[in-house]
Amino acid sequence: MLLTRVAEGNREAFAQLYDRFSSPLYGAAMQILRDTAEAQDVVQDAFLTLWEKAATFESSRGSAFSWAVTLVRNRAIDRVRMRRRRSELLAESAPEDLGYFAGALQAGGDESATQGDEARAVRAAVATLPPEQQRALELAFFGGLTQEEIARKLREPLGTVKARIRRGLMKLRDSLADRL
Amino acid sequence: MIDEHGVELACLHALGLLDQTDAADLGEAAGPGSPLENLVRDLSEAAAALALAASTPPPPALRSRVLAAIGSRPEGRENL
Repeated sequence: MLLTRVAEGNREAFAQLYDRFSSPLYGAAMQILRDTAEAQDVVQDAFLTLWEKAATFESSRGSAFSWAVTLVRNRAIDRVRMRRRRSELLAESAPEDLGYFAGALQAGGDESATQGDEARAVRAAVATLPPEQQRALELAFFGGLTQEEIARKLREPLGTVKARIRRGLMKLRDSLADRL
Repeated sequence: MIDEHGVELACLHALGLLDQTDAADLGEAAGPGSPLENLVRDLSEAAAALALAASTPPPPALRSRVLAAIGSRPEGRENL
């Protein structure tokens, strides 16, 4: 496994890991931060953490990719929350219509064949979700909003938002079952 | 059989939205090898896959920067 070799200090394996993960990680960071410099900083920081902590990775808890996405997402959302605190805009600063998935659905012209296949499969799976489920998931995943914040933003009951998130993610899991 | 609350907690975990109380509840309910633990893992993978939908190649200079940065850092430091 690639991460095992990284944990052994294999720099070539680390370079392969970078080549495999960097596009989705950078794309996710860009969707969250909307700033190229900050996205690059976050991705670099996440890769350094992967390098330093590869030996602590437990495959029984999930994939290396899932771990890497969590590292990037947490760092990017922390930065967004710091921005919000600074500007005292909190939930209001979350974009109204960034169209995360709409933008993502058009992305990907420069990917490798394998990455392109995976990305296309996920985009196709997302596209099958009802728009309101896509919206709730994008605000949670890329917007870093809590369910309560999403409910306020969409002016929908909390229970409705919870149901949309739950149904959307479950359906996504089912759609991607043979790829995950 | 996983009840509706368990499914909700698993979804929240996958999206990084669990608060401490819910995280403790999930930790108790999702024992090793349990159906809920499997659901948590599956949903976490599905959520992570959303990053693939956003795939965008980073600037080439970032690769050089990252590889240069690890050159000055020890690996597996957490286990030392």
